[in-house]
Amino acid sequence: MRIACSKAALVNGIHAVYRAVSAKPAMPVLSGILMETCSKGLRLVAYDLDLGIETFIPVTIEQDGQMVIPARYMADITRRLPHSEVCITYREDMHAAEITSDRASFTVKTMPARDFPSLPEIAASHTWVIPETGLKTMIRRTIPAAAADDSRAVLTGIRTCLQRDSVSMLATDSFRLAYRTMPIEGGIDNEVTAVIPVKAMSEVEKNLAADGDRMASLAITESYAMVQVGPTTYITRLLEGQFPSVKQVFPQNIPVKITCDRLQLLDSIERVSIMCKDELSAIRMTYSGDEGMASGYLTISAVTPDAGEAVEDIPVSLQGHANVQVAMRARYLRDVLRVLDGEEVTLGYTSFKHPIEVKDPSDPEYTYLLMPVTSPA
Amino acid sequence: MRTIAHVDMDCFFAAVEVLDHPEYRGLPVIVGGARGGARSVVSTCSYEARAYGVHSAMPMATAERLCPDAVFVCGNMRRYVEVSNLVMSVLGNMAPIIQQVSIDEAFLDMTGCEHLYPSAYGMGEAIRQAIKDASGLTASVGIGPNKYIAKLASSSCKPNGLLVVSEGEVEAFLDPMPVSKLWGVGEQGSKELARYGITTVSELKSWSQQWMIDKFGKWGAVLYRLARGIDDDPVTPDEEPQSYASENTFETDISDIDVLRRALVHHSSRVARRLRESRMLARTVTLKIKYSDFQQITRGRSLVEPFDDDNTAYATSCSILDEINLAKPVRLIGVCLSGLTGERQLSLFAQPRAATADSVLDAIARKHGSRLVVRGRELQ
Repeated sequence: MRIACSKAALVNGIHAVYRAVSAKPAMPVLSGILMETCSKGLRLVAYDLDLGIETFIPVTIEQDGQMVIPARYMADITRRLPHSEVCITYREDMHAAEITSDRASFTVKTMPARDFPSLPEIAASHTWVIPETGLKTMIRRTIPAAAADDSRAVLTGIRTCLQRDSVSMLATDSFRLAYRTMPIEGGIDNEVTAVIPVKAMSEVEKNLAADGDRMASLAITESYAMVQVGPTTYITRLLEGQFPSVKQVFPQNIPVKITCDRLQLLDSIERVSIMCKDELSAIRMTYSGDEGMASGYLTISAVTPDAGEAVEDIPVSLQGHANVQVAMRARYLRDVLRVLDGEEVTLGYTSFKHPIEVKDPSDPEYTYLLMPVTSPA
Repeated sequence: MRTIAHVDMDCFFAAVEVLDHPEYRGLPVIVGGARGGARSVVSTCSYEARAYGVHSAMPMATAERLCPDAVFVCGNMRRYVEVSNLVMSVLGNMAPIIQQVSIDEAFLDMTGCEHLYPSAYGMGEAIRQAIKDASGLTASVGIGPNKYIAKLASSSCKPNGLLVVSEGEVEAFLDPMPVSKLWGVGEQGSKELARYGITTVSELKSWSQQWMIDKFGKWGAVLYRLARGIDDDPVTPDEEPQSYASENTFETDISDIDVLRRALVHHSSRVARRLRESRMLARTVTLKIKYSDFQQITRGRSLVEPFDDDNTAYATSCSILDEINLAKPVRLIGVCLSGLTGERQLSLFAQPRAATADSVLDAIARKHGSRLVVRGRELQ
């Protein structure tokens, strides 16, 4: 194999597949990136047996070939290449790749391409085509609610439901939940639901365009999901297990709605939570203002015995009764405020032990719920 | 010099029953788990019942055989707590610092109050009288220069007694005592000491500190001090517990991991129940193991989410056990829950079935004692 390409294209290609390189490889070859020449240029593949990522970059092919090159060396080398052009040659006599750019030259031992497992074949009955910007927003706003620890593996995924005219995504770690739908065209009657791992979704999200009208495609089979974004394809194993039923969880009649400036609330929570003992400690919120008045203050406070306390008021407008008192983990509210874009945010309050509903008036298709924290009387 | 009093209510549960049912007076009264329950045990009995050989922790069935005509009472914890609170509030008025050790036991730091009484003996009588006046119950009181001597004194003068051991009398008080009476020695420990011909405190004292440490490690250093009546532990007022622990020493040293796991079922359920009773959650599980050679290790693990259920406590302690080298037989095993918080993160979904099982078991335990229903995996 002998190719020449731009440093930028190579860096992007390596970066695109890098997350699928196995940190603890089941076999040595999985710690590498498969590189092979083809009609579309250079094909790059990384695969940790759960997530596989494939991408293509434009190269000038002088001689066809394939090899598996250690991912970490490749990533570090390409990033630091001195010139905008790079040349890669496979040296069969040394089982090594020679990477040269300007006056720098690296020789890196490679692994045989025939040992690299091939990505699963995806034979889906239908492929959904979804605007990238919409898909990006959906993933970005549902990911924070997914579980981080895998004590219940199925909750580390995003339940994705594809229908004739809409797609919806839902994530929950059982203490909070994020749900978003969006209308689409060209679906089919057979509804398809799958739980896609957050690891794959967050990779996809990074690669999706925040503006423009590019389309991504999504296909789901029995055990795999495949997402295609530009030249890059993501194939991930689906999560198995019973996803909890969420029908009963959404509050129907919310008696109190508090609306305030999103960034002001976020800043205030970040300040006050400095006095929380740890990530799991709760902050308290109390409304102060007269009954029947449309506006007042939300008092946000945190107390850690023997350490100190913090308190801050922010102006809010109120709909409903003024008797609001609730405690929650600061992180759960902070996480959602960070992924919203709207200027304002509305908190729906039922009681100190019912879910708090977080809505962005500029994104009505999105709902985030978080459960409060209670303390012994 | 300190003046410490140890107050121990006489057969507390049985005494409360007699107080509430005067017709029981003079009869053997046995308080314990449900009668006929294969595994229920005696929690307290009156001295009339003790005369028949009945003692606490004895299986109910044995007690019935020894003393068939006794008054058997199931026990009313709520009532006992009520009387206990009354007694403790009386004690709180007599001493600047009081440490309640259990429902029927407390240490009083009387240092600086000596001049209020004609003598140490007068002080002890005043405490006993105040309890009698307020509750109608008798207590045994031991007074000494530290907690350890005070406690030994009260247990030597039970029931309805008073014993004062002054600083100068400590040696004469301790020397003739069998070592089994010392704090933390017990049956196993005294067997261990007997191997070196040590049966009394004076025999224990004849060995050097270095020898004790070489032979018994940390425990040896503790014994050396106890034999000389030394104890600096202060009377610390009750505060929120920082942890809940449960442990046991096996009758014989154990190498079988299944036996150790069964012990963990028992200890995890016990500590998790106490956690739930205090409406707390824990984040850290610590496993304690003492090997046959008295080497002791503790290994802890902190979880992402605070918990209060039996299963998490058990599963975590078990997985810690799996990573521990069991090349040597185990003498003692225990579980401790710490990292306590009162804040409970509510869940969006209904509580899992395991949590429901825990609360049902708790309700049964409150009513009938904790040994009436146990988990299947605790049984052989």
